[in-house]
Amino acid sequence: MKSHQTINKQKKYSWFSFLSAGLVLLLLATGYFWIVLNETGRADLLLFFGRFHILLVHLPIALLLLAAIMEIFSRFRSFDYLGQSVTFVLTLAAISSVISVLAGFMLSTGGGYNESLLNSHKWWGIGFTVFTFIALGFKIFTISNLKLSEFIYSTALFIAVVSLFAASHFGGSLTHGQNYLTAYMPGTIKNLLFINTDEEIYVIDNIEEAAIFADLVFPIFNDRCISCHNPDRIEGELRLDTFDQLIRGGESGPVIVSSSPAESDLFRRIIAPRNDDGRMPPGNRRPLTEHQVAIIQWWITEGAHPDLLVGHANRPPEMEPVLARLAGLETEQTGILSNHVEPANATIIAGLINEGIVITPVSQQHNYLRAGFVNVVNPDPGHIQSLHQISSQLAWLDLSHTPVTDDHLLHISGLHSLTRLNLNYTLITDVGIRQIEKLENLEHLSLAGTAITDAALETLSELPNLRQVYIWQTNVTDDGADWLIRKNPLLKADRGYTLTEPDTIILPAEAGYSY
Amino acid sequence: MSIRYEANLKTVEFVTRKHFLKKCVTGLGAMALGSLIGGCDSSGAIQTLAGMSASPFTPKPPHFLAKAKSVIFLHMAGAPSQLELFDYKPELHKLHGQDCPPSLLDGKRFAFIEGVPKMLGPQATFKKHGESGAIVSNLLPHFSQIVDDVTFLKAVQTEEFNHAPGQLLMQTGHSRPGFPSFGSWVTYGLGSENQNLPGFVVLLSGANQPDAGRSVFGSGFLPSVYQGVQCRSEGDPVLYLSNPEGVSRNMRRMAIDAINNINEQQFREIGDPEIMSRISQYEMAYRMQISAPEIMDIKKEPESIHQMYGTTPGEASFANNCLLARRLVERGVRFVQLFHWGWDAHGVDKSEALNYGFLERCREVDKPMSALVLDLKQRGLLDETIIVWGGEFGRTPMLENRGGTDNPFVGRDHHNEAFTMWVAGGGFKQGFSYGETDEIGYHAVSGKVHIHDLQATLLHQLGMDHEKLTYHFQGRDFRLTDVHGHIVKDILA
Amino acid sequence: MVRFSPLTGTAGLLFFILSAFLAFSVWYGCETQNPETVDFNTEVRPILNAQCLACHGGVRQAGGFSLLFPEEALEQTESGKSALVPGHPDASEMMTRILHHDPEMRMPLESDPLSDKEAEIIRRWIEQGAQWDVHWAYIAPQPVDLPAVRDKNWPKNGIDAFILNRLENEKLTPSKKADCGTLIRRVGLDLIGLPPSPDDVRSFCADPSDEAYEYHVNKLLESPHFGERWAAMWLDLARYADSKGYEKDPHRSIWRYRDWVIHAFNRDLPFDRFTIEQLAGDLLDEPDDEQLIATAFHRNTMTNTEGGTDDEEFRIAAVVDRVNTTWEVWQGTTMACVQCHSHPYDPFRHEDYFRFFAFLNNTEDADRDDEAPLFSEYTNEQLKQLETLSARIDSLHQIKETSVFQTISHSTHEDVSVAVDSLITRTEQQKRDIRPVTTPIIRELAESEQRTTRFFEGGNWLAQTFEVQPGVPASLNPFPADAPNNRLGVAQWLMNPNNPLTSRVIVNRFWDQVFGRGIVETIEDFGTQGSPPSHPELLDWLALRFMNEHEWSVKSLLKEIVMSATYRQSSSVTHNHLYRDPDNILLARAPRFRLSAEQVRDKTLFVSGLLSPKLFGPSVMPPQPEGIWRNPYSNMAWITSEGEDRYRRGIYTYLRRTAPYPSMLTFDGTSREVCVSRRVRTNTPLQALVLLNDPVYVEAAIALAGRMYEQGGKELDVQLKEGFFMALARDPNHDELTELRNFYSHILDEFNRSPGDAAVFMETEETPDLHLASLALTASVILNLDSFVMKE
Repeated sequence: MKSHQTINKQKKYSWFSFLSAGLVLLLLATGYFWIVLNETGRADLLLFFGRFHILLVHLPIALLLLAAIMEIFSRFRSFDYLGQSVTFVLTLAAISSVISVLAGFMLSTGGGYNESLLNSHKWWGIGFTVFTFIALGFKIFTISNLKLSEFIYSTALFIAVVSLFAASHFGGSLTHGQNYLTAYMPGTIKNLLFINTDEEIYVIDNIEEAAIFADLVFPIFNDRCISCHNPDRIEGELRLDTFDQLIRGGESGPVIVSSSPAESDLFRRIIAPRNDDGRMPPGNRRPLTEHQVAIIQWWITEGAHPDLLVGHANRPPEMEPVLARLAGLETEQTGILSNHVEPANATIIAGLINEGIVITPVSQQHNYLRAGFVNVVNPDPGHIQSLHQISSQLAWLDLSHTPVTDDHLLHISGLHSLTRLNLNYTLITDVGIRQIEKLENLEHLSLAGTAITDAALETLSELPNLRQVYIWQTNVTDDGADWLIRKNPLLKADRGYTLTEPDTIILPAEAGYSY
Repeated sequence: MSIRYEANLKTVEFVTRKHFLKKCVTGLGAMALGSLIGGCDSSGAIQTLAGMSASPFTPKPPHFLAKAKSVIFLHMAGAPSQLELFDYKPELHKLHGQDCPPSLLDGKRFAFIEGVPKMLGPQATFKKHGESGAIVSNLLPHFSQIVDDVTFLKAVQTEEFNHAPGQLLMQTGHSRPGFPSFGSWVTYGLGSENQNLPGFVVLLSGANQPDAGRSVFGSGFLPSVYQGVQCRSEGDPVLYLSNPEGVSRNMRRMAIDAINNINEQQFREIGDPEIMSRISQYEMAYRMQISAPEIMDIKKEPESIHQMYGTTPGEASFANNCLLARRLVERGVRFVQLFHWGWDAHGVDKSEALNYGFLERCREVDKPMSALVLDLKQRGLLDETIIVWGGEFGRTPMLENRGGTDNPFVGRDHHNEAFTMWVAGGGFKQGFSYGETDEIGYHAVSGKVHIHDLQATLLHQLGMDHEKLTYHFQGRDFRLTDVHGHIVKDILA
Repeated sequence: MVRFSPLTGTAGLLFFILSAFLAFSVWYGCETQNPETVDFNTEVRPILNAQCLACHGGVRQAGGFSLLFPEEALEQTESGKSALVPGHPDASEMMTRILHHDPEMRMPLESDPLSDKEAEIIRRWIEQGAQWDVHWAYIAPQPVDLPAVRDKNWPKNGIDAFILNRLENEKLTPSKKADCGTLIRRVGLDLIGLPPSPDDVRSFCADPSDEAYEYHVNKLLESPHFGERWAAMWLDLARYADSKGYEKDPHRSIWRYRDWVIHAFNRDLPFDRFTIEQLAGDLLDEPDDEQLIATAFHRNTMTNTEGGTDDEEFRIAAVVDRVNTTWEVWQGTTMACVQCHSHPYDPFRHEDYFRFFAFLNNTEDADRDDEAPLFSEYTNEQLKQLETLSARIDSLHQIKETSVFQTISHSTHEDVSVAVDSLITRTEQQKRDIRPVTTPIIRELAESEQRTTRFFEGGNWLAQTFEVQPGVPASLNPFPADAPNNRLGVAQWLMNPNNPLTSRVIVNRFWDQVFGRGIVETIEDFGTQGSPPSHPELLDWLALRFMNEHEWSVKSLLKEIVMSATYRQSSSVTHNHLYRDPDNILLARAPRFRLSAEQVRDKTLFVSGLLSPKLFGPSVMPPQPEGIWRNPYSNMAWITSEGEDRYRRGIYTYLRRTAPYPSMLTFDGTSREVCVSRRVRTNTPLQALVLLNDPVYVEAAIALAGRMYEQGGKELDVQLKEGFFMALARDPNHDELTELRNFYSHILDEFNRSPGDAAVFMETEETPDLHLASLALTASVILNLDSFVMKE
């Protein structure tokens, strides 16, 4: 038993000598680096070493995992012999992680990486190294309280493993793009992990500082073009994976004529109609979206510079919505319809339809529902209450031209997802309107031909999302309506229209013009 | 009647389950009426029992979120002259009376023009109107007050220059008969909300029915239940709607009860689901006997509305039909098709000449069509209802010289290169004009919209992809837009 | 105790896992690797049609690659890579693209990848040499012997053997025999479109033996009404109408052709002569009048009389319609597609269309308003009138020569001879006023005026390019050597025994009319996208018998079908049958479907005793609401026919293309602008309104009540039973009778309360017979029952 311990101790000292020698060497190298080389030489050297980061980084990954596995197995009686060599493996992991972090720094100087991804990768990497050292430290120097050091050691090791995974994930995203891992993940698992399946619109934090080519244009090429225009597959001898290749052009010469999209072959091809053979992406692949076309057009008009920033280029008005979207400010469908909701229970709906209520989804892609009472002979409050079973899905409700009264509306407040409500020519009065107060999502309200008066306007003005209300043929006075619009300028109130009679009638005879 | 209740519930369950199961996004073709059993999970007897009795007009969800849910199509049969209404050409004014340049004639085919016709200046005066500054002639005084609610399509194109093929192309997407009309495709795709009225209603006015006859509102190879039902202003609104004299409503109720009771016994004995479907059709017929006359009776409307539209109850007029169209759409009818005949201004006789009959037509449509737009708007229905106005083609900038000599009255020949239509509501831009013609209104120079593009765009606003609304027939998936049609994005709000 | 050291333990474990894995993969390999050859038609072609041919077929050859014809598929593609290397799936670019991981490269493009099973089928197909089999419909039917069946005594003829064999394989048993009333009613409606009279039903039910049934069937086949029922089917195919179509849609007198079709079916004109006379009657040597009138089949195309139309454009449109119709009616092929491009999935090239077009492009008709050439003839009465008039003229001439006249004229000289002369001229004018009956017919252009037919670029008649010679597609039987190279030759080619399609398509049409669903459901499309035959051997067996044993006789073919046990089953459906076979494809029960528009009208008039049995003659105008005919440029008016013409069979109703008879349209009748193979049966509230309120059907209900009144005696129940029996060929059961009785009494109370209603309803001034009025409404209930409008 004894020999076992001594070897261990001697090893400890040799470890130290080996470690310190390494550090000294390192100091020498940095000295050489800072003093001797000039600016570009330094940059190139940095990049040269930096590129090894991709290679080196695999060492700490493997070693740390090995250490962790050995640590776990060493807890079992038949594998306890493994415990001795954990320290050795852990040390190797620590050293290699330091070197790869350094190489990482060097690589990052090259630029051309997505800022947020780079930061996350960097901090998780550093965290990984720090916790590996902590674990190593607590493994080697056992402090007085054995249980505590054991605990710190295992938590540190655990954190190191976690940060390892995080760092490598972000690293992978940097090189192979965000969805490299999840691209072919089966849909069901994707839903499980709540990864939204439709096209991810990555958000640029600081849009003004973003480089138009690198941050706006290149991702489009990367997403839709590079699969056929890359180093190992050069369709039409055109490569789009770097700026220089793009400028070099393809078999029929340059594809970009700076500041004139109309003459740029690349631009002409992406806006060609679907049946034009020259269209890109070719065949019946999805054409580029309007936004993508607008970005490329804007970039070429602004001279197709490699590093012009968004903030510096002058910006035509139609680019505003495009940039807003990229900056994550504005989603396509405003209001409640854009957020997800579970489908309603089919049998409940069947029951409602059997009562004569028309229930259909607002579209085949939505679970939101529309309900119409046109076929219900005489609707009673019970009908409205029965709608509560689908309250989270019911978005549009049409009660027009039915004998609905105020006490029907008693149950309407429960239908919180309502955005459109049509009460034209029903028997409701101001009393009923008060029930509508709680429908904060309501956007469109028709009250034509009802008995409401100015008293109801108070409630209407407070509805946060109401944009459109129809009060034609009601008892609402003009100044009542004016008050409403002043109180809530976002609200448009329709009070009916008339046609003025023309002063002269065109009679055939005298219509004979001089011609 | 427990079995009927059960069958009804099964029907509804079948239809709802089919539509609320996420995986059922198959093309609507699967709902071919012949075998309602189509669709995704065609398993088990219950849906056979239920499938057969689901009404073909059960409302169905659109492919994607729709801007509009119903359509009113105002088709001016005969082709109104765009040069006298919307497309003001001062240059043509200068060229009046001169010979037509040969470049406009060679290689072109005309219906009646022969030799070298003379140019004909606009027979009306034009002014800018509304905030949008749209130019409209003095022949449409009321319409000029609503230009800020409409979008003009100034460069609509077609291949046909004869009335019957032209109307067929506009309404069925094909210039030869035998294809389903627009309304048939829309009710086949979306069903209709009001279960007591036909889903696709046709209203005719003017001296005659459209030149291409019933096939402009026929169902073509689609099941005949989707054909346009012509609502007539004299006699029964729907053919054979009212009971024979002497048979009271109560007696008709007893008759239908007796029929359906015996049918139900027959069903128990031989089990054919088609019997349950016939039972529900008789119930619907009974309800339709009440709902159709009630909705067609415009006397119930307040005087202010009659004043606004210029309607006179009991008459068969375009004004009455516009008011009826609003009432039908308000009650959940999916597609209302109006035809107003008599726009064929060749100048051969007074009844259609540009300075006689044509003015009558303008007066007959100006007020009612404008009132229709405003009436829908004040009821909050305009943004979910599409209104389309136009003819089957345009008219030439040249004076027609049939047989080589000038016609006795002022008139223009048929012209398919470019003409004007307008659309309103249904998520289209407001106070907007799209497309331009050259300085004499002959060629379209920008913003060209072929009839198939217009059809694809209208289907798009109804939430349907015109390439996915198909019906499998003779080994092929047929479409309204055949193999053409692009969505005109610039006119969408 | 032997303690396993951890090392050997894990090694052992590892070894065990590895070997299990190996065994599994070997098993899996041979399981899916079944050596059986892949059948192209049933396994590979559906995948190609569904997934590939849209972009790599007749319409488009993306990347220069088409899978339609074997030789094209093996050609060099644009990318230089060979898409298909028979025997080597891995070397075939098609295979790599199917399995490719990158969605932008994977085939089918922009849509879900092939399932593993499908990919495996394609791989094995290429491996086994990528053999293209000809589509089943383009291989001539081979003689088939009857399949063995376990239950020997159920089948009554060959048809039953095939049906029963299939049922036994599917573990289903045929239904029981239909009761005598239902059977006799069914066969009557099928063969002559009319229900049996009550006496026929009672006599058959008295002795429902096979012999009695056969006797009854023979009687129906001999009935003159047989031709009327089957002409209804044929006129849909011929797109028969009484107007020229398009804008003005003026009158067209072509009813003589309808008479020819009815007469041809009645005299059982063999189907090959029936075809040849219609397609090329004028080219036969010394064709008689009937054979000339037969050629009006293709003059049913529309003529555009709208002002300002280009006649050549619509002459070509008519010839295009004739090509499409010929191919749909006789070959069940959607040749219409090929006008603009090669057929998307069937083996017909773009040029084939115009080589066939050349056969029909040389007829004299040219979209002229007068629709020349016309066949004109006088009807018998007209001939009689002409004789009397010419006799009168002769007698007048004689008078002039007679001595008596000379003497009188001398004295009064002028006026008498002038009077006689004017009388003669007036009679001659009367003779000229008797206009002959004209029928548009087909006549070949003289040799010198023959048109040259050119290829239409993209199917556009304005873009005609190189000249084409008449010919038939290579993928079908060759043009018979001895046949003349014109329309007559084409007709003979269609009816040639080697033609793989004609007999099958025609037999399938008759089967569809009787069973409500063809053996091939898509009777208008036998191509690769049409539905496969549910009983392929039965179809071939029947097709060969129709040509050989039946020698194209329609009546003997139909007799064989209706004599089969399959046909004589009951149509009630058990839950199990409904579950297993909702569409009744396997025919474990007799079909049950709604009658055609013509049958509904004829049956109602027959049952109420109003039907006029008059055959032939011009079209008639039964009552229809006014305002239906408001055509812009024509002053044609709907003058309701008087007398017996008001109650003629549906086939004689005047059909105007732009405004067909409304109640026909409501029951899925068509406007016959184009050839219609299948009327999709619907079930709508408008049909209910017609049966309840259309004056034609109200009048029939009143008439039926009259018959119930006379034949039913005094007793209400007997009258009700009699009416029920007349309409449905069976007695009402207890519940049905009570239902009718209760309804009758309720109505009687109503009428008692307000007799005025009864008077108005019965349209009589004097005091109405309340009993008869109530009975009429009860009769209307019977005529509205579901089983009345169904053939069960």
